[in-house]
Amino acid sequence: MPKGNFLAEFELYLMLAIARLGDGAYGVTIRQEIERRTGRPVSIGAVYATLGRLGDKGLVSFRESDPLPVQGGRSRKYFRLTAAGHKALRHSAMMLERMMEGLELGAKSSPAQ
Amino acid sequence: MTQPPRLAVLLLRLALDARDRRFVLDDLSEEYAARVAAGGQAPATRWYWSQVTRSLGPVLWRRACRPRRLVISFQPRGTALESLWQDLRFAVRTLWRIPGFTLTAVATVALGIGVNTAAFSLVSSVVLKPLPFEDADRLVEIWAEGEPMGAQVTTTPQPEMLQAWLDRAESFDAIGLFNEEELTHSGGAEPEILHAAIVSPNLMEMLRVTPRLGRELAPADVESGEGQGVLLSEGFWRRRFGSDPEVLGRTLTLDEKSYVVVGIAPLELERLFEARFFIGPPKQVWLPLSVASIQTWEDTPFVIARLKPHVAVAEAQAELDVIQASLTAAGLNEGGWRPLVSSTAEMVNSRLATVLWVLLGSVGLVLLIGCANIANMLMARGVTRRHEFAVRSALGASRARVTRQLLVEGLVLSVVGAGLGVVLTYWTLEATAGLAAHDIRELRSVRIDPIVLVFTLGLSLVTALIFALAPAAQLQFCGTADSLTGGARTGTSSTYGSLVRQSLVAAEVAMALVLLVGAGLLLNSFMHLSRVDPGFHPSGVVALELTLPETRYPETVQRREFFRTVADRIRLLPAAQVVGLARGVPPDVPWLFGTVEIDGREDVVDTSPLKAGNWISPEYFGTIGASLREGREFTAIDSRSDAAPVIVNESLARRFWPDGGAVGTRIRLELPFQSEGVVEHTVVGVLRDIKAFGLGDEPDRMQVYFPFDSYSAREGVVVVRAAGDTDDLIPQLKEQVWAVDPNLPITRVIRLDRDLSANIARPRFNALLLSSFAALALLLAVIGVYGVTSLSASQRTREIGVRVALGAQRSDILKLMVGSGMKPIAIGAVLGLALSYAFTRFLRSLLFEIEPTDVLTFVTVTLVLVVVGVLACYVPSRRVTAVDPIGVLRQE
Repeated sequence: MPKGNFLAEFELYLMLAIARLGDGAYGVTIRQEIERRTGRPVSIGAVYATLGRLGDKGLVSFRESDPLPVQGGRSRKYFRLTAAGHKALRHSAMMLERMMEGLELGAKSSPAQ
Repeated sequence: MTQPPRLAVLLLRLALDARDRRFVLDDLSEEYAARVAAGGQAPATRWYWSQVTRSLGPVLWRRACRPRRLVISFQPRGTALESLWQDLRFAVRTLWRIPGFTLTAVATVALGIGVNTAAFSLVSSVVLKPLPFEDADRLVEIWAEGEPMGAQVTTTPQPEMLQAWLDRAESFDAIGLFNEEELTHSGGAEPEILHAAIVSPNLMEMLRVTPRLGRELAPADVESGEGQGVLLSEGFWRRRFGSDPEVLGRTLTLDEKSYVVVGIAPLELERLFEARFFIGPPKQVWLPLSVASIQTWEDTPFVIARLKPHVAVAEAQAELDVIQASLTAAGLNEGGWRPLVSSTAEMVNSRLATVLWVLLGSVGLVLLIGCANIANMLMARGVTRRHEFAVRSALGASRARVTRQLLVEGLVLSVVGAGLGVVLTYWTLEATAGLAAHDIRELRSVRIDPIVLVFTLGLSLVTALIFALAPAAQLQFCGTADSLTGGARTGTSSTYGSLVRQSLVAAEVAMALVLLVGAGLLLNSFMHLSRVDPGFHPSGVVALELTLPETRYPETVQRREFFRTVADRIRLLPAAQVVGLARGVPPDVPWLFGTVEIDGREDVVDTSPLKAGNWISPEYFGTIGASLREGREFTAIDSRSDAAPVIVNESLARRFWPDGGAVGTRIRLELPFQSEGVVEHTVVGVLRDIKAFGLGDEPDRMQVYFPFDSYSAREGVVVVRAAGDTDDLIPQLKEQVWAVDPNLPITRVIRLDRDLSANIARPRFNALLLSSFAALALLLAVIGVYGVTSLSASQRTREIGVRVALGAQRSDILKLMVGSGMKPIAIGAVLGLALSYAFTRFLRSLLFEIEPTDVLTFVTVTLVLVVVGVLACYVPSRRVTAVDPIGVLRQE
């Protein structure tokens, strides 16, 4: 569990995914984005649970879209980073960079297909 | 379109939080559809299942950790305690906003619970735990029972019986004896009469009590002639010795014999005497009793025994019966006496128990009526709150939730009321103690104890249940949608609600009527009692009761001489108008147990051996203001004549000489308990009946009067009719007594009028108590009737408007409204009369010269109730007749 200002790994992935997806970040796209980039299977339940936690911390916010213009159309829950979220993300990335500085970890693996 | 696997959806739906449920499922469906389109249904379904199974963990974990305070919902969450607290705050806020209703309800509960707590604490301390002794259920009293002269008598045993019990009975651990006596204590500032209990040395050990200080009486105390041990009562110890612990070993002079103080008697012992035996005033000293001194029946003591463990009362009775049979066989049971073993605990205060159960019943009814009223008020509010409840249930509040809210509101009312009620009880008990303790000794020991408080708490819970559930039940019958739309607008009452309210009113009326009838009977009986003509004029008459010590007045001649001298001296006082001598004055005239026979009138059999018998000087009747119907009073020479004159009362004369002619006849008095046995007398006068045993005595009590000069016992009264104020006279009278004998204590100063009115104190107390409860009940019932009528009036305003518009007259409307208001009253009255008829017979022992089904009382009380009921209906009904039909119809 994350302590202080540190973000847990999965939280970091989620926020990065939202940042990448911009206005199109909702459950399906977020899940697929992380799965695609990490090559790890991600469950929708974990996504929503973690998003809920980030919401509690005030790092992400959401809005519900208008129902889709078809019969019985659904509405989506679109997420975006709050100002605090952006700050936390920058902070975590900077920490990571500082920790990595001058460190050789051998051959860089390429992302999975 | 292809649907995702239903079971998986259901699982996830259950696990998900309501906030995310829709979105998660929709997101999954979206991807599932895409996967089906891309790669077929089977892999898509597998994917779906894996999503669901892997989602369950994080979702449930998240739900478990989610901070609750962020939840916004109309359905309260959090622990049961939290939501109870919420309910409580809401209830207090709601009640705070309607102070009129709240005050009325709380006051009603406080009153109801207050009087119930008071009554229960009385019952608890007098009936439920009367004996403060260890294993009190094994304590029994042993009496002798028989029918000498045909009347059933329960009394102390004959000396032979007592001796046989002490020698042979095996059923008892111990048999304790006690007697009472009045002794003169000299050595203080003034000679003083002390009330002494003469007890067998084993009595305290048998009762398992120990002295507060010092030691118990010992068998040795009985034997040693001088310096016998004595125990002091706590009160006497405090008064005479300032509670000085050094008192042990000091000597006390009683009847000119010295005793050594060996201890202070425990309070329980005093309590036993107070609670059970009511013999005389509280005892001040406890002396040892010697069985050897018991020679005649007059000496025999009261007997109390402790059964051996596992011996039943019936077994002890059987054993004593066998012993008695052997006595009879040996010719030692001439009187045909039978032993009677009875449980002490059962007999304690059985006399008071009736009154107390009646009391508890009445206050219970008052509380029920109060509850019915509050239920009614809550239901009336329920009508106005229907909209509120409908909104709440529309927002998701379950029926149980709303019921709980109502219960909590009820609890707030009842607990606050109960709290006030306990305070009220405290005051009530103080008041009753002040009011009645003088006459009703048992009231002094009443306390509010934990048992009583538990009772009160239980009572308040029950109360809350009763009056909160009625509106809750009403709620069940009003549909949400209905209340939100039409119902709330017109406010028409449901048939169910009005039925319940009317039934409640009918029940209130019935209960109030029961109380009214009871109170009416007691009041009526008390009026009978206070209207009784005592047959003499007690006002302005005082009497000094004197007891001459055996040691200084051993001879009858000395005693008579003493009384005569005192009377002669008092006659010289200007403040004394008439002075007489007697053995006793009403209501404390001695009992005379005997039958009358007359030559020539053998056909008349005397079946009432309990008579009043008095020994009087010639001036006695004049002093108390009684008068003769025929014949003459005693004269100074009567004592010296051989004719043995008697004066009988009218009742006796009427029985034997219905046509007159009593004077001059010789009568035979058979006195089985007196040494003379049978004595012949000549009737010299017939007294107009007086109430010798107090106003409540039976009307045909036979009385026999003998000349004071034929009297030989040590006790007597000097009776004086004051010329002026009696208070001024009393010190002068004492002065004259002490002029003759400076060491003689005044046993008692009697004021005849005051004693006679003390005689009716208990009936007056009963009548007063029940009347105030009945008045309370009537008031509450009237409030109920008024409330229901005015509610229905306000609900029917529209209907009335239409009726008036269609041409109904004012009087028609009034008739209609009062008529429908009277319906529950009439039903309640009929029910109440039936209940009263069934229950008033429990009052029989409290009534004087009036039947428990006295028609006049029943009719009067019902009329009062109906008239008051009509008024309670009329007032709100009249208001509604003033309705302006145009205005009402325009509101439509």
